This record gives sequence, C-alpha cells and structure tokens, in this order.
Amino acid sequence: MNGEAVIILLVEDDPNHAELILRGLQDNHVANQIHHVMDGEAALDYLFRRGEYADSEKSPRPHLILLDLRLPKIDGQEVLEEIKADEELRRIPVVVLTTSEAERDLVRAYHNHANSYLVKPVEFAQFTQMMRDLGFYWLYWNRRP
Amino acid sequence: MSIRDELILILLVFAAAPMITIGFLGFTHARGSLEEARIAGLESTADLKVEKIEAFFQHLTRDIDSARRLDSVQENLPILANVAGDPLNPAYGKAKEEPDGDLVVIQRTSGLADVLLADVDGRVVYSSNEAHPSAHVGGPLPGPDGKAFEEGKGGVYLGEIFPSQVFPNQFAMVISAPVHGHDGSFVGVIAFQLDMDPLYDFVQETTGLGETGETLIARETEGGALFLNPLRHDPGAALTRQALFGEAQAIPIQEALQGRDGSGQSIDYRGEKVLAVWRHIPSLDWGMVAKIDASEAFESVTNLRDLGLIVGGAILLASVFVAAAVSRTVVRPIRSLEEGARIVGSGNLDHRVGTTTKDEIGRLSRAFDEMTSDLKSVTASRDELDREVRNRLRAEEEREALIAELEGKNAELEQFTYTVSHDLKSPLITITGFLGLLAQDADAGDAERMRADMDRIADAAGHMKELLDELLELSRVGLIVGSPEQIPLGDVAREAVALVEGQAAERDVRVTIATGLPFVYGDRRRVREVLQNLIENAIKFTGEQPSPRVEVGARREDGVTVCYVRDNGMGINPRYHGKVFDLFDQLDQTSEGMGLGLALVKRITEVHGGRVWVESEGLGHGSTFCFTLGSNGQAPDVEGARE
Repeated sequence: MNGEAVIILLVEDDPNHAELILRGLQDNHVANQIHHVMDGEAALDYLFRRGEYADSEKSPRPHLILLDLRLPKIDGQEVLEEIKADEELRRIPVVVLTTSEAERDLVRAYHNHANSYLVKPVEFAQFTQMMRDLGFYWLYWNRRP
Repeated sequence: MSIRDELILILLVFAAAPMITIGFLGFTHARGSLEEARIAGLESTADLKVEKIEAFFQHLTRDIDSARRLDSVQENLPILANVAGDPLNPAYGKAKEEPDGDLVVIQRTSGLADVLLADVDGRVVYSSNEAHPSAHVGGPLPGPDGKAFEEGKGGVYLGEIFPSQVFPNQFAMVISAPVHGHDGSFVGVIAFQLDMDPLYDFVQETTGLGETGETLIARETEGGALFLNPLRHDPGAALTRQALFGEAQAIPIQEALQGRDGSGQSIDYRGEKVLAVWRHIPSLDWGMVAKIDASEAFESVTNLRDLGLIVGGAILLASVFVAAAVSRTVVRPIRSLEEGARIVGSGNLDHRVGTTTKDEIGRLSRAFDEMTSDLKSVTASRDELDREVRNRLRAEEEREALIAELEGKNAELEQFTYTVSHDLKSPLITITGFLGLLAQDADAGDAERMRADMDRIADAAGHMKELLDELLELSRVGLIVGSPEQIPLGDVAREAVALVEGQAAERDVRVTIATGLPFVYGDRRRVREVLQNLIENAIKFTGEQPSPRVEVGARREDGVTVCYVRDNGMGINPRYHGKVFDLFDQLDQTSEGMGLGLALVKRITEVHGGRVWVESEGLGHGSTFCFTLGSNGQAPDVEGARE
C-alpha cells in the first residue's frame, strides 16, 4: 500500500444504503475518498467528466466503482456497459452491489464484464462483514495497475 | 375452320365438283354432237339447193341452145326483123306464127316469163308472151347495160339478176344466145326472161332451218359479195346489200365466193354467231350459204345446260343446307359440352351437360358429367379439409395469442415479484442496517446518532407500508373497474384537480382545464384516478420553473380522442420515455412517491383498451402525458357530445 488515498465511486440511489455502505467502509480504517452519485446518469457524467463533473479536480479517476443496479434515469447495467466499452475506464474494477438476487441480473452483469457481484445482505452482521472484506480485498490485497 | 365449314367444303368437293365436271363434259359432248347433226342437215339442204339451181340453169341453157337452133326461129327472125316496125302488117303476123308454135310451148314448159327475139341491132322483134307487161316489142332486151344482147351474140349468156321494171320487189334474169341463119350468118339473139320469184321461193325455203335459219345466194361484185335474194332478216337486201371481202361479218359467203366449200361455226352478215355451210356454184359463179343461228342450233343443249346449272345450283344449295344441318346436329352437343366445360371450369360443379345421344360425343359428355360429379365430391372433401385446417389454424392462433398473453402476464408477474422483492428488501436492509448501527451507537452512548438511526428506521418502515398500500391498490385495478359509460371529460378533470389542490397550492402550480372537452367512454372513478395521477406527477416534476403550469386537455387524432396532461416543467430526456411507466421506476430520487402512479395509469388505460405515452422535446421543455381509453368493443366516444 502506498500512502495515496484510495478513491471510490459509489453509485447508489438509496441514501440510507449509501449511509450504511459509507459507514461500513469507514470502519476498515483504510484511507479512502468516497464520491457518491445517486443515479446512472450522474455516474457516467462523473466518469466521462461531463456537466457538473467537467472539472477533473471534482472527478478524480476512482480506483474502484461500487455500482447499484436499479438506478433512476440510466440503469446500472447500462452504466456498466458504457464503462466496459471505454478503453480507459474498463481498467477500473467494478463491483456490483445490489439488493437483487435475480439470476438474470447476475448473468447480465458478468456478461458486461463486472469484476464482482455482491448482494447486500439483510443481516446487519453480514452486511458489516461484507463491507469489511470488500475494503480489505479491493483496497488492501488487490493490486491496482 | 369450324366443323360446319369443313362439312360444307367436303360436300362441295365430293358432290359438286364431279357433278360440274360431268355436266361440263356432257354439255360439250352434246354440243359437239348437235353441231355435227346440224351441219349435216345444213349441208344436205345446201347441196340439194345447189344441185337444183345448177340443174335448173343447165336445163335452161340446154333449152335456149335448142331453141336458137329451131328452124322456126332461124328462118323467121330475119322476117320478123324486117317487119317489126309494123306489127299490124300481115307479114309480121305470119312470120310470128311459126316461132309461136315452138316458143310459147318452151316458155310455158320451162316456166319462163317471156321468150324474146331481137334482131341484129338488138331490137326486140318478138315476144312469146305479149301479155307480159315487160314485153315491149321494138325496145331493147331487158336487163342492165344491154349486156344480154352483147354477150348473147357470142354464146349462151346467163345474165345478171336485175330488179323488175314492172313489178316492184320482183327480180328478173335474162338468158341469151345467138341465132344464126342456115348459112351460118348472125341473124339475132334469143332471150329467155325469167322471173326470179320461183327460184327465190325455192332458195328461201326454210323448211328444217328453224326460226332463224335461211339459205342465201350472192355473187361477186367489185371487192365484195352482193346478196341476190331477199334475206330472212333483211327483206330489202336483194341486189342492194353488200359485204366486203375481208370484213369480220358475212364470212361464209365470202368463203363461198372465193370458190371454197365448207362448214362450221361462223359469223353471218348480222354479226351473229351461226352454224353455216357454204358452197360455190361454179356454173353461175355464185355462192350459197345455208345457216342457222348458233343460239337456236344449240338451244336444246343450252337449255340442258341451264337446267343442269339450275339443278346443280339447287344441289349445291341443298348440300350446304345438309352440311349445316348435319354440322348442327354434330356441333350442338359439342357446343353444350364446351359450354359445360366452361361453366364447370368457372367453379359451378353442379352443372351437367346432359347429352343423351348414343354416339361418341354423347359418351364423352356423360364421361365429362361423371368427371364433374367426381370432382365435386373431391372438392367437397377438400373444402371440409380446408375448413378443418382453418379451424385448427384459428385454434392454434388463439392458443398462441393466449400463450403470448400468458407469457406477457407471466413476465409482468415476474417483473412484479422481482420489483417487489427488491423494493421491499431495500427498506428492510435499511431497517436491519440501522438497527445494527443503533446497537453500536447505544453501546457508544451517542444519543444523537441513535435518534438519527431511529428516524431512518421509521422512515424505511413507513416507506414499506406505503409500498404495500400501493401494491394492494395496483392489484385491485384489474379487478375493480366499474361498467363503462359516456363521461364528460371536463367534469372528471375538475374532480381530479380538486383532489390535488393542496399539492398544487404547496408548489404554487397553476392547473387549468381546456374548454369544450368531449365525452369519453370508460369507468368514471378510474379515469379520474388516471387524471389525478398524471396531474400529481406533473406537479411533482415542475422543477425550478418560476411559474409552473399544468394543463388538462384533449385532441382528436386519427378518429380517436387523445386526452393529455401537459406541464412546462423540467421535461424528460427521450431515452427514458419508455421507462417512466415501469413499476417503481423513479427518474428523480429527490422527488417524492414510489413511481407506482404511472404504472397505475398504464394499468388502467390498458384495462380500458387504450394506452399511455409521453411526449417531450427534452429537458427543460416540459412534458405531455397522453392517454387513450379505446372503445374496447364498446360504444365509441361521441364526436358531437361536448360539454
């Protein structure tokens, strides 16, 4: 690990869930900087630096993207497709973090080159454990390019 | 070529052609035979007459030769010549007695008009028939140019025929011969005057020459023929009518005068076609022609030919009729068969030709009828098969439509389950998550955080309840739709606006209703629900518009009433136009509601047989939500029924 802060883009429409995720990740004591957007359009604007994210200072390249699937305006799957279609953005690992246990969502996500697919657990203990593991795995163990 | 024409042709060829040939040959043969017979008759007539004329003149020649040698003539002619100037002189009377005894007898027996004696000067000194008007003792011998005397001096002279000076239309001829004394000295001329009438009567005798036939005589004149006797067709022709040698008429007499005998078809002095026989009479250097008009000569064969033509024509006509009749009896069944084939071909399999004749065509017709009958039964079973196939296809289609509908329902149900599980799970995660955090915060004794956690939990729980209520409402839509009726859209719109007045006032949105709205057909409560949801939705998405407005109206499009709710709010990006009606989809997380409203609108309009869609030119240009109710097989909305 270098001392540089790890940047995470969190795409989550539900503010409560976003809060739970943020607190779960903070518990890991991994230095990170989380950017939260509420819908698919905003996520793409951030990544492609459009609109209010045109200034690259406001939209630094994330090291990890946490992506919910059911999003307003542009669906999570479409966001995933666009990320993986881009030469540069496709290198950023995308972890799908959703409530959906539907097989079709899972299959489609992997088809779209999702790097991981996680279902939000209803159990609080499991939820916190997942957040902890997620942080360790992607932010500590995992080597980034 | 039709059968009738063929039959007629065959009959003509096999009946008429031989008949015509035979008729023509027969005619030609009969004509040839008749010509031969006619010529033979004419020849015998002509030859007989030539012979008679020759004999007559030979006789006269012989008579005059013997008369000139009579003593009474030889001796008394000089005496008579001396006293001729004085007829009353007894010497004259005495000198006349002796010759009278001979000459009167000759005159009578030879049928002469007169026997004359002329002296050496040519003066007539004696007449055997002083009663004859032409006798004129003291004058010259009768006849043209005094030739009788001049020629008579040298020998027997047959004079030319000349017109009688006494009797009109009568002709005379003089035969003269010299008289010598015993000493051989020339003492005068003896002359026979003869009337031509008896000769002409004989020549002109037309027995056996029919209506047009005749015999004629002529002598040569300069460059032509002069007719001597009155002609049958020209009574004034004697000594006046001439025919020039070389002309195309009177050809037989030209031939005869050139010394030739002959016979055949020729052209007479009138230019008529004739059968003629021509003869030369050498002793007189005359020509004789016996002829008859070809038209008369061949009349019998001509009649025969005409009869043949008439009969032939009748037979031809009859053969045409027979052919036509035969062809009709042959063709009629063929025609009805042909007609039958056409009718059956056009699809009427109940038609029967019904020919009962025993011939080949009758058998063919019956075979055709049997075929039609078989075809009908085959077609009937085919029709049944078609019907069966159609029924099955229809059943198949119905089944597939049902399957598609069920699949649709199934997909909808799956989507519903998926969405419900997701959206119910979502607040549940929030609740359990914050309950966990609440426990941690309680351990840490952070009261403020605990309160915030509990608020979030309460919110999520409320959210779940709301969600469950809406789900219940949505599930009822399909079940609870009242009986449709004609409802005034304006009234329903006002009711809907009244229900959202509070929300509108809260956001300072002005809601208007267009005038002159039509009647629509549907369940009043549900239509109001649709309008209410759309207006609520519009109020919700007015955004930062300084003077937000919402308008309810209707327009006519392709004969269908399109109701709309228009706002001047933030508008919708065209890429989301299909998504807005999905269950629970919300385009803006910051707005209230769960997105069930539009799903409800969609559900209600679909239950009514209509549809809902959104029109928007994009962000910042407002949106128009349109819906139709469709007649759904019921009475359509009434154009004239307006508020």
